[in-house]
Amino acid sequence: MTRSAPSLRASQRSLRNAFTLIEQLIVIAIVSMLSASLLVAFLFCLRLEKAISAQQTLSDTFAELDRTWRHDIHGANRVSLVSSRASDTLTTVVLIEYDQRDSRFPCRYEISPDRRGRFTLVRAIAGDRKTTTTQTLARELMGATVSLDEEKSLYELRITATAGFDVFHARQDLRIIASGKAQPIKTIFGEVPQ
Amino acid sequence: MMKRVMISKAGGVHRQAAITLLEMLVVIAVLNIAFLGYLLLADRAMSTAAWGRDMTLALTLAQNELEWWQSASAEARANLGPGDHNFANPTAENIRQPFTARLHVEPVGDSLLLLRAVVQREHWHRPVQIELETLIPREGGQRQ
Repeated sequence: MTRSAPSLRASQRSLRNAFTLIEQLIVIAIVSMLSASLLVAFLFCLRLEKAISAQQTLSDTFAELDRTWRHDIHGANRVSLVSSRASDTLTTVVLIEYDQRDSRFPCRYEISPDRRGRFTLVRAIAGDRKTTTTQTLARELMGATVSLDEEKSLYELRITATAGFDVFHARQDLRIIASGKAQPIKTIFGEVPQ
Repeated sequence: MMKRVMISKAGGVHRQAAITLLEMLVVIAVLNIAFLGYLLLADRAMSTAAWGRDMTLALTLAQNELEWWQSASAEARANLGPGDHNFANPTAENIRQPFTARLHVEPVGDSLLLLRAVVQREHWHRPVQIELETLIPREGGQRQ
């Protein structure tokens, strides 16, 4: 049985159209996968950037706390560790007060909670005419403690923080000890629940 | 976009404006290479961030040890012999693998001790190593 020329051409056109359809389906599938991959990569990029920023912020915070705490304790003349066990997590707690070389401008470390139950560590310096300069040392802390080894006159600042999220959401403790020349006025330590 | 040339048995020439599978494979390969490069960059950025954090922690640990010995009693200093020692300050309990911390003590003259606090950490990116030194009197009480 032989087929006429028009019938053969129609058959070939039909076959070509079928291949084109399969190719189109393949292309659609591949493009879909590529789009999904790009979307996942974009979301991962956002999360990664957030994690890296959190890590760097935590490193900067730790370095600044280390420097400031040692500087303050080394230069303090009179230190008062404040009895301020925080039972009300909505109030600001003063952890430590100390006099610098000029006793007219006492400094203090205080910690204040936010609505999410995290704490902000603030260093406040009393200035002239009852103005106070505040410096935020750390944010998003899980807790902070100040303690004193009276025998060695060592003041310890301990903070607990978290950095990043997911796999990077690990608690990070930092304990900074500084030897102080000043004798404490009070020997009661201030503490915020961890 | 490359045009595919098809020659039918009937002798007609058709140009089809469609992406060939070969072109698609090339595109996929290029995207994969770009994605791999992005992952390598991300890994490097994370490593650098973690390395910076570890450097800060190591620095704090080393300084804590030196502060501890600055305030140590004369008796404790007198018992501190030359050589390597473990860290003695209370924050040293935070030191655990992969961190290693050693205090190297070296006499300087008759009345001084050179303390070198070394904190190290093996890091897959680049190693962390902090060395801090201080001089303390061998005897004579706390620092004035």
